Amino acid sequence: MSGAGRSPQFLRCPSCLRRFELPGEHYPGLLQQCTSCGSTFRLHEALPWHEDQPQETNPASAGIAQLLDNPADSPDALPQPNATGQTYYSENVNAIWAMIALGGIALVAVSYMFFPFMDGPAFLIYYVVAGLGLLAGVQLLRFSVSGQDSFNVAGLVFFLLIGAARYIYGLNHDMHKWGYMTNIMFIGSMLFLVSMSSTNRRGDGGGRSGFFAAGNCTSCSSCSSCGGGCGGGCGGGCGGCG
Amino acid sequence: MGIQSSQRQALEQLSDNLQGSLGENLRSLVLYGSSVRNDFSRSSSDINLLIVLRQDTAAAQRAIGNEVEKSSLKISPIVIGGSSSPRSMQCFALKFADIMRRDELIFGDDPFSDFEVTQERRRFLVEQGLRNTRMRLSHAYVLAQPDPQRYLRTLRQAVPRIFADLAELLRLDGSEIPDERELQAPLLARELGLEPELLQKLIELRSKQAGTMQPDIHVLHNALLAVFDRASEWMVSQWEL
Repeated sequence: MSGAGRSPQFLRCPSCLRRFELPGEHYPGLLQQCTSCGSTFRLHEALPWHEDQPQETNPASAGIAQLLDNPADSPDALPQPNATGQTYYSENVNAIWAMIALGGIALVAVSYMFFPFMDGPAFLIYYVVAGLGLLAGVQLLRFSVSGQDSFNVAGLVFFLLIGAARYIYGLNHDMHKWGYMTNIMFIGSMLFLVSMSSTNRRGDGGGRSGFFAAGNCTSCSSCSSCGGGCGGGCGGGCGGCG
Repeated sequence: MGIQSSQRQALEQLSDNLQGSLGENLRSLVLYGSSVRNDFSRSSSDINLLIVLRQDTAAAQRAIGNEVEKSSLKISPIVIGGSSSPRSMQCFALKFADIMRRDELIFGDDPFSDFEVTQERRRFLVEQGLRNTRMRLSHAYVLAQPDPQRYLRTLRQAVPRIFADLAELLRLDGSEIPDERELQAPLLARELGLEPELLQKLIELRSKQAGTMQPDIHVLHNALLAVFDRASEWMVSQWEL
């Protein structure tokens, strides 16, 4: 994953075309901000750069492909996109998921170990803090790695597991008031889901509609300009919307 | 009526912002449509903007989307770019010829400096456009039996294309046809033997807010099919595919 010891390599901002240097630590989903125009983009969206760069080339020949042509940057440095061109899966991502799984399981296990030392109110405070910490961790991962909803789902699962563990512990220790904890579980779950929706809408390049957003072509507003403007080609493309 | 001075200022602001966001990627900004004709309606018209990029990427489109969202104007953008732009312009040659006929370059190079369309291509695209619109309206009509508004929404979107293609049909025959639909309507009616009231109704349908007109879609669709069939007969008699 590291480009240390190599001569600097350059790509171009896919928005304003300004050259930038490939970061030493890089992977396709890495979020970049152009210092010239300020736009944010994922590294795999960057365009190739050549000294004698033609002004108009096919954007499909993206920067990642250019680097893969270079034997010094073997495929493990910059994995190719899968068939959909949207999800990049690399050893780096596998490692991140392994860390998430281990960290989550450790958190639940450690929480369970400390249950005997926490009375009801103390646990509730701990649960809120743990939930907020998980939520912050999820947002950090979404921002620094990729905007995958699966991070939210993983965070939600571990959050609920802590609650479930406490419930199981409580049943074995004659606890019987679960109202506050249930409310925290519900509110926490909503926060994980809403953050999924709101970060998807933020224009982070995912282009998806989010958990609560409708993704259907209901008003077909995108077709109006085509239908009104582009004639046959667009009309055919939008026919499915009626 | 053209756009107002406040809208002009907002447009200049948008142009500046796009230049800032897109840098050297922005090749041209072209204003077209009703905002440069005399039939702009402040309540219902969009401001049509052709944005020509050197590299048409998703990131550039996001940057455009952000600027359009920030703008107070109701912008309807068409974005083209990259080495395939000339090809795109040929594929939608009538659309771009229509833009070129009455446009205003507000930034960059003239994207139409080398743009030419052969007569054969124009004929093919006019015929394709009219037949496509007929099929789309028929599709909407078949599915609109429980929901007439669905048909009216489709028709409302199709009005500019219907006028543009019928006008192009007559231009290919050597007629001088103005760009404004209000002026086109009587000429089209006379030359193609159509009902002037029908064309006027289409203009009203387009200019008014959806839902304020409740025409009988069965009568309307029947009359429109007659228009398309008349145009089809004319094309079949005049042109070979």
